[in-house]
Formats: sequence, structure tokens, C-alpha cells
Amino acid sequence: MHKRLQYEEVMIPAPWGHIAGRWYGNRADRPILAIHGWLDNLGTFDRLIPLLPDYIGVLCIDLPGHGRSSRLPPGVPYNVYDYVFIIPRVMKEFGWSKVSLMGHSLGGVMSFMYAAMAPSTVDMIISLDVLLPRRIEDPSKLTKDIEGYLLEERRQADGTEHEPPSFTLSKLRETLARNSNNSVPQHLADHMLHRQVAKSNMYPEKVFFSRDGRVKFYHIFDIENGLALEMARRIEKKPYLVIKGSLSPFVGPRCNETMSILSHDNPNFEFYEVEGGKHHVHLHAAEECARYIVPFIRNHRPPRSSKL
Amino acid sequence: MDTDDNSSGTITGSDLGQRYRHAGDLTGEAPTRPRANIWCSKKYFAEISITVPWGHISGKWYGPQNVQPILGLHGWQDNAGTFDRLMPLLSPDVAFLAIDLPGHGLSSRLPDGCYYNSVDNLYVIRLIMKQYKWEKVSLVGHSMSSIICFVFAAVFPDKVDMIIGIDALKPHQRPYPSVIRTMETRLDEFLREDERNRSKNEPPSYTYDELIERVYIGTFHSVNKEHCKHLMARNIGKSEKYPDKYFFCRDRRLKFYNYAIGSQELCVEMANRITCPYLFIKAAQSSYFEDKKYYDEVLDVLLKKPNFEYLEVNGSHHVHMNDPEAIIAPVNNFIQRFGPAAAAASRQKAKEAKESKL
Repeated sequence: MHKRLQYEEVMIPAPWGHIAGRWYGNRADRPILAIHGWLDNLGTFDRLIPLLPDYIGVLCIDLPGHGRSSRLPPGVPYNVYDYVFIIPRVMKEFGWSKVSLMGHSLGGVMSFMYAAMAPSTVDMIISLDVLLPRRIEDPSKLTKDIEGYLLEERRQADGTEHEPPSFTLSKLRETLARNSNNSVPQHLADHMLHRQVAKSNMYPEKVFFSRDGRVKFYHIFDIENGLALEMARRIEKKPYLVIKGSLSPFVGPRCNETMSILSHDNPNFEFYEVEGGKHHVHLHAAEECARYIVPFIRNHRPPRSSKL
Repeated sequence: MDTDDNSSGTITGSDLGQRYRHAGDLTGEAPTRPRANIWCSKKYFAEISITVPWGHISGKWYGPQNVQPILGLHGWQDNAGTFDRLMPLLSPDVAFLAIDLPGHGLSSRLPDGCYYNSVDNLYVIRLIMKQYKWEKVSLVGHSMSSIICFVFAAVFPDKVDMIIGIDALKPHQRPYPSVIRTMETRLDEFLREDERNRSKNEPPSYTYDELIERVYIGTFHSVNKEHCKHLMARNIGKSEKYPDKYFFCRDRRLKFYNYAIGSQELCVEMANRITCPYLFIKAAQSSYFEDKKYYDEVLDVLLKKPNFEYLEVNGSHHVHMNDPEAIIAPVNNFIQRFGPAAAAASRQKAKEAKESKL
């Protein structure tokens, strides 16, 4: 049975609005900063957080355009590279000189990138079913994304944004399960939906996705293999935990060399595969993930290890 | 789109970053030409303002306004003034719209907190095309924008009539340690500069001659000193503290431009996808900005294409400013064969041929 945790809703100011978050547990010490994946929101960590050590807080954030965070201004495309700058923005807001990162999917990619850019400011990384982003190999991906983005931006500017297509909640649960290849099963879908749906004004029984439709067309930062290895060299010897869902392709052969650099001569590197785990392994197999995450946290962020 | 015929000295905005002098004040160019005089000489231009979601894109429209112009895009930290000396040499029937990219020249900056990414200029081109209802576009780009033209032609092969690139061919491949060092520096400094941007304090100001010197040094002497005024005209504001001084008013965040677009494999794939007529001009005294093997690999792909033309000329990176005469004949010839008018005529011809078959 999952214990219920106290949390406080936080709003971190940003020039374009705010970054919304939930700070679970201890407010006296620097928390773990948890970052969700693409098109998700901080609800992704709902089932994992109650299983983590209760002496350390966890600050989960919604990335811009997701959950309850402000959208980027009109005309500004979403870009993974820009998202990385959210991490120092949060650190600055709370006066942290170091950060402990836990990221799923896009959040894990951001953690890897940030750790390579500013290794001296990172004390540990937990990466959930990801290490490196997928490659950009086809220019037509850019074509689709740019045209899709401009179309969505036009839709929002036309005022039709007020009411996107709406569905019943059960239909959305179904859609989420189907689109995620059941990585977010229907019975857990509400964890993802509670921060990204709004009630329809036109159809009282229906809801619609309230996240920014433009985030679907974000620009990936292409980390080619040579660059990935160089980034890993900058991170080396950091406490780094990678958890892979055995049924998920996201931590594949492309990551092997990078992982061998991260793990080389590094007793603080850990890799585990959760049997039967899909991409949202931390959501549908939270207990198994916690089995690896809890000792990792206790080891690298023991009680009272660092003050705010 | 507004065509601003006001040639007065200053456009005043609510903050220092928006206060600019009109180009004609400092370059000796003729004032903005009257709207009625459509077929007037190339030395006249109309100031253009194109509405975009975050503000406006400014530009200088040369030549006739009743035909589709070629879209001219400048290099990093330059502005539409980069084409000032080339314009009078174009055929008088050619229209040319030189724009200031976001954060440069007289164009709006991106909103506070936002980052400049090279790839976002693809969106800018598409926005302009949509505003003017152009089905296809003809592009001329220098330096960073020559790279943008290359990428645009690969990403939107069916939306380009022709491109002319000046002295930078493709996204550059830099050594990995240097890529990460750059990322690290940006991480440290971007938030600081973003905050400084929002401060109401006037940036450091200089005399006009000092600014010329700074531009000259800033381009690594690539622009002859006597031509630096063309880049400065749209790039400086008049100091309120010191009557005889000016300050740079481009966006401080431009220093941290993210150039990354993709790997060498992606560049080769892009080169393979380009189908439009393409003239690339290489300045012989300019660097390749990357290991030449990467440049050569992409150039080899392009050289196999029947409508790719390669021209090497003596000159520095800003050869089109210092010595426009050196490139104007091939440029005019290429535009005559493949520019908007030629492309429209060949489309019309194809349409008529198709209809006659029916």
C-alpha cells in the first residue's frame, strides 16, 4: 500500500510565466529534482515518490508547456537544448550550488546533458529508461515538426485554442494507454491526466488536453555517438543509476559505449533492468524501481548530507 | 505587413533596446523611397515590418514591390545592411527583401528567457512565406544564413525556387570537447545576460568612430573599415546620457546562439535532398570554420547535381560587402535563370503544357 505524502505546490518564476512543481516531503534540505518525459508531467512520479526515503524531499516540476507550467510565448518553438536551462533556473531560484537529478525519458536526457555541461554542480543522477536521445537521421522529421508547429500555433492564434477536441475521461485513459503501447496502463492513466486535462465548457461530461499542443513538435538535440562519449567522459565517476524496462527499446545498443565510459572504474555507476518493464517502468513497476533507487539515494544522499 | 515610409531620424520604443537610428542617417543611403515610385533605382529601399508572434521582423525592400522578392538573410550578429552594397548592382527588375533576423538589427528580440537556436530561423522563413502567401521562396544567405539556406532547401525541397549561399556551406562540425565547452559557457552566462537584457540601464556607449573600430575588430577585419557603417546603421542606438555617443542595441543573448543542427551524416543526407538550383560562392581568403574534410564531403555530393554551381572568388568572409563587383555577374546571371520571375514563368509554362494535353 502506498503511503500518502505531504507536498506543497510551488511556482518558480520564469520570464515567460512560471514553472509549476510539487515539493514532496522535507523542505529543510536540498531535494532531488525530478523531471518528467515528453508530453508527460510531474504526475509521472506519483507512485514512485511515496516509496523513496522520507528524510529527503523531492521537487517534481512540470516542464514549460506541460502540466500546469506556463507555455512558452507565441512563436517560440520548444527545444530540448533550451529545456536544459530550466535546471539552473530552478537551482538559482532556491539557491542551490549542487543538484541531484532524477529524470524519466526527456528528463533523463536533460539530466545527462546538464551533468556534462556542469559536472561540478551535480552530485547524483537517476535515469529512468533512458540515457541518450534518439538520433535525428531524417531531415523530413524537421519538415513535419516545423509545419506541425506552425499549424498548431495558427490554431491557437485563431482563438480555436479555447476549446480543443474534448473526450470523456475514460476515452482519454484508453487513448493514453494505446498511444503509450500500454506503458501507461488505463488503471494508472489518471496519474498522467490529473495535471493536463481541463473541463470542457461546451460538453460538461468531457475534458480536453490542456498542455500546449506545440510541444508535440519539439526539436531534439542530436547527440551523435562521439559527442555522447565526450559528454560521458565529463560526467565520469559520478553516482549514476540507469534503470531500463526490459520491454522498452529506449536504452538500446547505441548506449553501450556511453555506459561503459560512465561505468569504467566507477563503483558509483549502477544499471538494472526491470523484467517486463515498459517505458514508464517507474509508474507501472514503481516497487521494483524503488528497490534499486532507495539504496542508491541512501548511499549518495545520506540523511543531512547537504543543506539548502 | 506595414511599409514604413517615415525616414525620420529615430524610431523610439519603450526601452533602450528598441531605440534605433534610421539606416539612412549614418550610411549616406538615400532615404526610404516613396511607395508610388515602384520601378525606381536600387539605391532606394522601403522599410518593411512583418508581424510575427513575438513582435516584428524588419527589412529593407529594394526594387519593385509588385513582384515576389528574393529573401536575403544576413550572418550572425550582422543585419540587413550586409546587402547594402550588393543591392545597387542587381538588375533593376529584381525585387530583394533583406531582413533582420530576430534579435538583430531593427527586428524584435525573442521574448525574455528564450534562447536563440539556429534551427528556429527555418520557422522564421516559413512565417514570412505564409505572411506574404508565397508558395516558394528564393533565398540568398551569408555565413550563418547561408547554412540556414542549405538546411531550408533540404528540409523544404518543394518550397524553394533557388538559393545563393555566400561563404558558409553547411552546419559546421566542431571537435566534441569544444562543443561541450561552448555549452558549458552558455549555461553559465545565458541567464546572466538574459537578466542584464531586462535591466533598464543603458549599455556602454562609444563615439561613432569607436563603434566602427569595434565592428571592424569584431568581424576579424573581414569587413573593410569604410563599409562597417552598413552593419552599424541598424545596430546602434543613440545614448541618452552622452549626446555624441551610441551603443549597440542588438540582443546580448545572441552571443550564445545555438548553432547545432545535426551531425555530419545528417548534413550529407540534407545535401542529397536538395533539388533546387543552388549557387555557392566561396571566399578564397576565408576559413572553412570546420575541418575541411566535412566541407568537402558535402560539396562532393552537391557538385554531382546538375543545377549546383560553385564559384570561388578572392576576398574575405564579407566579400559581398567589400567587393560586390566580384560576384555580381554570376549572381545576376543565376537570378535571371532561376530567380522568382524565371521560376514563375517556368511554372506557368508547365501549367499551360499540362492544360494543352488535356
